[in-house]
Amino acid sequence: MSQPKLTIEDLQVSVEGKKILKGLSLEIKGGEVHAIMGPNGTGKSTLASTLMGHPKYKVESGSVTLNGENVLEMATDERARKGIFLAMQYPSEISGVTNADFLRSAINARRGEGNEISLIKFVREMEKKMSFLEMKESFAQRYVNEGFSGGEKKRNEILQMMMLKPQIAILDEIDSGLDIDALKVVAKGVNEMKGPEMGVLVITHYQRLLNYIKPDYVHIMMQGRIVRSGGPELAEKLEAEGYDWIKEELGIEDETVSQRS
Amino acid sequence: MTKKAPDIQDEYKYGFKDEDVSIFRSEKGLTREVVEEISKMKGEPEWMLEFRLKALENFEQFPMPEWGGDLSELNFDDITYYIKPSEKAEKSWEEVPDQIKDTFDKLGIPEAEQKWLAGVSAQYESEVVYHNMQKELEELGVIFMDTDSALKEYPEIFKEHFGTVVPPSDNKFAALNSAVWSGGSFIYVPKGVKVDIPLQAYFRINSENMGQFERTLIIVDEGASVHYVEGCTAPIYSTNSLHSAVVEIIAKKGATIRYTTIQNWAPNIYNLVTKRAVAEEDATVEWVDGNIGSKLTMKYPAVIMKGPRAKANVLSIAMAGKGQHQDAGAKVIHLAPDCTSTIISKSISKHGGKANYRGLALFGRNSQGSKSNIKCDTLILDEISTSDTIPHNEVQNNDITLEHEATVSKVSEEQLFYLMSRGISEQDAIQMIIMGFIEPFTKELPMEYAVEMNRLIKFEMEGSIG
Amino acid sequence: MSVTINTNFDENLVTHLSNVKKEPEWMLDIRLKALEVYKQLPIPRFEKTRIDKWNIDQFEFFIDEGDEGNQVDIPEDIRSMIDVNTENRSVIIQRNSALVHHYLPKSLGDQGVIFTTLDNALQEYPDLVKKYFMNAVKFDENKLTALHAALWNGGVFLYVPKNVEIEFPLQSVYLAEKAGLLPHVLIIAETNSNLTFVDYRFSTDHNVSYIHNGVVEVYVGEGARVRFATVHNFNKNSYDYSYRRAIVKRNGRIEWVMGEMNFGNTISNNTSLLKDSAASADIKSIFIGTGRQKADLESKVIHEGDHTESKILSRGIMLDQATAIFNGITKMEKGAVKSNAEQAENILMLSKEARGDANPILLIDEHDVMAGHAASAGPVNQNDIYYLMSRGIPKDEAERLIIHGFLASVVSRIPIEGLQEQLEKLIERKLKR
Repeated sequence: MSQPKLTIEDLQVSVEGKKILKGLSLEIKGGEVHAIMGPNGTGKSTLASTLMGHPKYKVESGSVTLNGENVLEMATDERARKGIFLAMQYPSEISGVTNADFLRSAINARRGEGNEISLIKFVREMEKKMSFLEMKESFAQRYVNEGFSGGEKKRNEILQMMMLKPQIAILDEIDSGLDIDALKVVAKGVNEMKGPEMGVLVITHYQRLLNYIKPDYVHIMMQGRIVRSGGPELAEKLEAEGYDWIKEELGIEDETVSQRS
Repeated sequence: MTKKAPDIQDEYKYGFKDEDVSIFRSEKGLTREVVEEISKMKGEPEWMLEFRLKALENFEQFPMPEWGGDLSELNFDDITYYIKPSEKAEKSWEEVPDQIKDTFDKLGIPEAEQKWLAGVSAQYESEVVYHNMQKELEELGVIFMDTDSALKEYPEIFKEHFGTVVPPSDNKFAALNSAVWSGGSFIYVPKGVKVDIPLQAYFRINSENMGQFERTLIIVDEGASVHYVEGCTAPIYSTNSLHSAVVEIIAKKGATIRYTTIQNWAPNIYNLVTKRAVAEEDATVEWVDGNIGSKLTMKYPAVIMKGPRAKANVLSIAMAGKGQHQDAGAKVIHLAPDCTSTIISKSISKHGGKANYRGLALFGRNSQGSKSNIKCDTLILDEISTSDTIPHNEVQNNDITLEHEATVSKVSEEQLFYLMSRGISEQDAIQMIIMGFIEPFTKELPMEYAVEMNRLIKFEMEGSIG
Repeated sequence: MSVTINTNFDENLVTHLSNVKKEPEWMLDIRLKALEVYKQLPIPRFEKTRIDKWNIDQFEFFIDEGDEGNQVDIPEDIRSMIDVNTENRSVIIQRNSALVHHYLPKSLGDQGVIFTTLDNALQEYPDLVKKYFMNAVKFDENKLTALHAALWNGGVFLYVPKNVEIEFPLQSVYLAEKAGLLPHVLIIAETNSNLTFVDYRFSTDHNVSYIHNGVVEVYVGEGARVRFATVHNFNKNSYDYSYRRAIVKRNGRIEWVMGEMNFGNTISNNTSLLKDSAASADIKSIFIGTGRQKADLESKVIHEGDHTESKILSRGIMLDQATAIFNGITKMEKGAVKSNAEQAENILMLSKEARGDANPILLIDEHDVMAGHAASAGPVNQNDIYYLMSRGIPKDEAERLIIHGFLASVVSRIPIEGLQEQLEKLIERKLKR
């Protein structure tokens, strides 16, 4: 497979009539790990949901392409089948549907009719990945996210990522609500997948996660835009000094998207 | 984005009809003469004829119910009340008349029997045409036969229990059934006998404007247990047919019975059924009730918990599509101390269908220590469908616990987005959510039925979600 | 002079009543039409409560011919509920339908607030009354509403103009001393107004059999908020038929707080119609069943507008041989998209011989809504009692605390301290403590 490439150009997005993303550009290639950092309310999660095609988010202008194909024209499921994956901040609970059935359906949807994964192969692979992520076997037969703790949900998201093998994986605040052990397991999953066939976009507001998932590029988001990009050292500086210095440099008072611009 | 809903008549896969092979059919309409004729043809004892005629009077006295569904198009004068398709119930599949055999072959009976059933009974129009049961069960004293034969072969036990749980004076349709009943299953499980594999009956209406009035009587003696499964289909005609059954169950001390129904009548059948069980001390009665088909179903399986520590579980789903009204539910009547009951009801309405839950939880004066837990959930799939939840909870005791919960919702946008974000198409995602929604029901079905059920739901859902 | 006339309700009586009150012609028309309907209609049937043997129309009828209106003394029983020392009060007290006390601070009058008897409003603001009277509740709905429309007698009229917010509660008190009581309350809250209304109805003589047949109509304008709190306290020989209804416009909100504290038989029917977008309703009621009393209590919300919200909470405590039916009905009409409704009926069963039914009904004609209900019935939870006892609280006190907690949803929302105390006293009396 050739190296995947996700290109975002001047993306502007609104939610219920309110502009959230105000011209965001970014390129993610296979093998790269990008981290988007920023305080709350700066549009980080909007970017993630927009890339996945959540119906609530309206793209006003700009473009998103995956390997040259227009992503914005695709429905959510098509994007997923093309190789975009979003580990969500608040994964939904689906009562009555087992994790195993759900994942197998997702894999088969991607493989297409006539090319379904064999049950045995699927089970073996799932068991392997689950043990890698230190998940109990009973997970496979539990209903999707129902009654899961916060940590279990996040692990489940990473399990899905490992099973679906996306080209571009977006992790939306995968570290929120995780204790350090769970965080390490989640990072282990991501690192295991790292390679030229997958690009990663990590969205977080804590540097802590980046100790475990080493980013190649760090972007700071404020007011619905990327206001600063750099290498891993940028994240370290944020950890040490917070966001205030950058607001000062840029002359920003309110970093959220609620201000006029 | 809404696609046109396919005509439900095209969706119904059991809609084929076969040539009339009947050897007798009564005149249309219900008169004293018709009732006498039925009884005479069956060679019944005098008391049964009297029972029928008394019931006919009850039927005539009852007004048409004004609640529930719309019964205004149901014309009692346009129905054939009795059709005899063959001479007798055959024990060997080979001896069943070819036409009828073909029908049941198409439906997969008794293929299924060979695989996993302890016994099977097949009713075509008014009479049971095929009946068989494993030899071992027969040797244990289990009786499983059509109700008409039971009246002849086991008159004492029959007379002792028949009509005791659902008397003809109960309601209009119970009275109607009592007057013209024919066929149905009779089961007696002797003390302590546990029947491990399900007994099954299959009901088929083949004629236009036909009324099927089977009568099922199940007696599970002390400490015994049994699982009975029934399925029903009919071809589609332009005019309506009527299915009005009565099921009576007596679960004696410590007995366990599960009664599973998958009702998939054609969309022009009125399905007006009275199902009721009496649970004595420590007995357990479970109704597993699936309502997919019919034009109008009014059915509220009931358990009267008469003895201390009796248990009732009712698990029901109803799916109402175009032109359909499912008015289903459950009744749990706690009349003795320390009884427990649960009701889980799942309703789905789509394509303008109406799926209602109507239920009763009653705690009598002597029900101290009893508990009931009731949960009704409804999914409404499109903007033209509706659903009502109408529970009645009557409490006449101060030492009981009643918990009741209900929700009505649509498929949530977030759930859909989540599933689709994993590459699953919108239609498959909706289907998956619905399968999950009714999973508490399907997981209780025997394997083959669960598979069939899932297939039916998929079939109902296909291409139908906008 | 005031007269009481025995119960033979005919055109003469109705015409006489209307004439004495100097009512406009159209009001007499309504009364006479309603009288016809009342005569024709059968006794209404409730699904679970038979009232064929209840007294609906055998009572003495009182016509105030003017001389009682002069009395300005506040009757002893209700003195504690009215703080005469503050300007911030607004009260109308009626005995058997005749006005005995009326107070409205000048500041409110200056803002255009009208708070007067309905009789008086009919003289001074006939057009306003005509526009709203028996509009939310129709006179031909049933025999009871027809009887009310024919014979209504007493009651108040409250009009709050646009943008006026009244900080303190407006109050009306009705006492029945010797006759039937048929007050009509008409509340009109214009756009963005805000008010709290408190309504207390009670009987004095414990041996007389009273009939109360009252109607309350509340019209909530756009963005307006109305809280209506009521306590009924009629004796064990009496019959209470109450129809209360609100029609709520866009962004408006109605809150009902109801203490059903009668000792006699009760029919209480409460309906809120959420007519437009984002209207909301909150209904809280408590009932304590004692003796052999029977009650049928219905709380209903009809959602017509989109994004409408409602909450129904009904709580009952059943003692002695009392019977009560709690019906909660949530109706989602087609078009009520994105609306949300919750309902709960909880019954504490404290007697073996009592009966309590909880029927939480959802009628859903619109798919894009959320609706849920929960109902429960049972004794006081023993674990709760155990928990409190483990902290050193004696058992009786623990039970009392739990029961009071159970009723707090309504008690704490009665905005007038005196009435709140009165309600607490009634609760204690009903619980025989």
